[in-house]
Amino acid sequence: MPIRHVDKFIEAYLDNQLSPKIQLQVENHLQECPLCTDHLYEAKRLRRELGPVLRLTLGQPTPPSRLHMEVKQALQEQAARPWFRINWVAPIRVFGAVGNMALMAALAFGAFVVIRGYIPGAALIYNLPTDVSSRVAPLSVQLVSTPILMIDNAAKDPNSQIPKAGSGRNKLGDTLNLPNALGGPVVTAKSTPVARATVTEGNDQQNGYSSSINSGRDRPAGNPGSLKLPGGTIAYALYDPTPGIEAFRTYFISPDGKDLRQYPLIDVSEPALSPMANNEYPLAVRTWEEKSHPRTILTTDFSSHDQTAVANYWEDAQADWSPIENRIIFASQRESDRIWRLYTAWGDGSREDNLFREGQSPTFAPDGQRFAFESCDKYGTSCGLWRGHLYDSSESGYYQILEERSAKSPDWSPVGEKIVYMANPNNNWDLFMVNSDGSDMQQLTEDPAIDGLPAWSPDGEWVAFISNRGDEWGLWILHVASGKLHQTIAFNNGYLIPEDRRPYNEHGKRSWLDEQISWSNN
Amino acid sequence: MCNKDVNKEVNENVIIARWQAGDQDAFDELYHLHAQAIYRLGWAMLQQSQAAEDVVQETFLRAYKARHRFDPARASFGTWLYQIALNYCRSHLRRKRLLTIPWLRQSEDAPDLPDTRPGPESHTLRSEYRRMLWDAVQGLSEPLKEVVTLHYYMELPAVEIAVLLECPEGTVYSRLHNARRRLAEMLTAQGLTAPEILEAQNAH
Repeated sequence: MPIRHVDKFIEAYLDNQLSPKIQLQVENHLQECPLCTDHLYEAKRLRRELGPVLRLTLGQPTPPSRLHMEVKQALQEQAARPWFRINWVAPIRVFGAVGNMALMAALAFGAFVVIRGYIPGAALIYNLPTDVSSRVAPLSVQLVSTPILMIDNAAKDPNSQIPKAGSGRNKLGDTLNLPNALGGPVVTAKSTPVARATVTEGNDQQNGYSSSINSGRDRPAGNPGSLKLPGGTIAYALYDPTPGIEAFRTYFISPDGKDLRQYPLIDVSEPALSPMANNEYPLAVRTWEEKSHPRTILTTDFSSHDQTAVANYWEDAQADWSPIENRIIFASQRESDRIWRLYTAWGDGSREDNLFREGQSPTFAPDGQRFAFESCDKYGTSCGLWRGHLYDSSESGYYQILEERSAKSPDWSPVGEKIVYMANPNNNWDLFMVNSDGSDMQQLTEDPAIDGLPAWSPDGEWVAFISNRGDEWGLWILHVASGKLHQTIAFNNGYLIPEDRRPYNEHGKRSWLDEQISWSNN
Repeated sequence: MCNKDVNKEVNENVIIARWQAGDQDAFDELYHLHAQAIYRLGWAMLQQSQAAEDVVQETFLRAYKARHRFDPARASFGTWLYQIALNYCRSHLRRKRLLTIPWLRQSEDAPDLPDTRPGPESHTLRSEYRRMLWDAVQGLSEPLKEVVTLHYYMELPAVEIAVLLECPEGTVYSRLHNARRRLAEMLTAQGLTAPEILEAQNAH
């Protein structure tokens, strides 16, 4: 086959790295083509010049001799503290920056007080918003009884829906906007008395499920039924369309809905909490905003001061933590064909591995070596849930658990072989459960409402999921053995999917199915 | 020669095994073998002596932390260290880009490079060409600049760069190719056309 132009082969040609056949074709072509010959001369010239220019400008520096002892000392300190690495320089820089900002804020505040003679106070806000909206279906929501103490930095905004200082507690049904995370701290007030909240019904007699939601401190102990609600933290993300914010926010909530916190980093979603205790990096999130963070998957502690980019591409998504080591598995559309593929990376960002497998929504098994994911066979005809092994990337290392084209968002139980997933075989998303060998498939929910994005509880007895039961989108938990349901929170001012604009839809419109929630003991 | 290389590799493997087992003396030997190359990589990528020292320190710290994950079957120890150093440089550059607020900028952010721009007395076409070439390299995108630095300054062969960047060798060549096209474009945009370059070359 004749070669049209050989420009792209020139570098390899000059390095003698072409196969003899291609090399001959390149040489023949060069004899005929003045354009490519020009490029060859240009490449030779740059080769001749680039090395000397770089060496001349950069020099050939050597490290100072003291560096050896400094590194050795740092290594010894690290060896003495294997789990905690303290970078003394970073906090000093941060404190310096924070100090500067605090000083400026204090000056601005002082000027404001002098000019206006007005000091906004701190307000106790109860009853987080209602009014959920979602692009998936029209929603209206009532409920929520989560107390949040926040500094009312919206008090000076006449249009703010957050009550002004001194206006008392919110009443049930008040619609509030969550505060801008960057504008003020949000702290929990677990023991604060809570106004009695609404009852939201999610009864579904047809399936024998009943949910009696009675939030607030008057909640009878052990509700629902006689079951004790589980512990831990559930993380989820919602899009806040408030003008000027227009970004994802990530929340942590206790399964009983009483303790809601907002993660301070804004415009991050797809949270994954690590199941490992004493983990250096308990949270992985996907970041969207390029200006303030590297746009990829970040691992971080809850204080968000030490964020580590574990991957390199903004298409990296859907992280899940290994239960046994500081490692995540994730999916990415980073290749130019935009096909989802699977990768793993260490939580400290030290290394990333391509699993060379097409797939999405990976989830680790309790052994930290096997994982489940959604994918198809190589012909694209048999799609569903698959199982893989980290250390066996051969074709035989993969096993199709289930053939169900609509199966999505699998989550492998932290304590066993059960995998929960969502599917819409009858044009309605419900939750299902299957053993990792494909046996014993069970339907967990059968409700006309949408149920999706399931996540196991750390003890493997409950499943958290997103649902629009009772026409309100919210976070629910389901006791698998008994079928008891409990609504943890109704979403209020959050969308499940973002505005139809960049950066959320660069490779197709982002769907709520692309989100994920996570539940851990942390 | 070949035997020497094999012996060297065997020796290094012994040292690495001792280091993985926690032998501090082994670290000294590894430091002498690799610190200079890592320092130069850090220097070339970040162009600040303090930052290059940080690269060396952080690379050895991270390598020590992940020492049990080093797999000699995948890459040589030197390449593995380069990988860690390069990742650190990338995150350092990313962090630097975040610091767009003027008062957060540290004075050390300015490159420590000596001013090698020629004075009027040495203002020749060739030195002018070299200056423009340096500026053009600085104007390349990160991936291209990385490959150019590794290939032309660190003098690593394409096959080793491919292992280091975890990409196919063809990708390295394609990046070198793109870098060359881009550099040629930038030099042309600067008004340095081929005849002038030829003249510059003929003059020296």
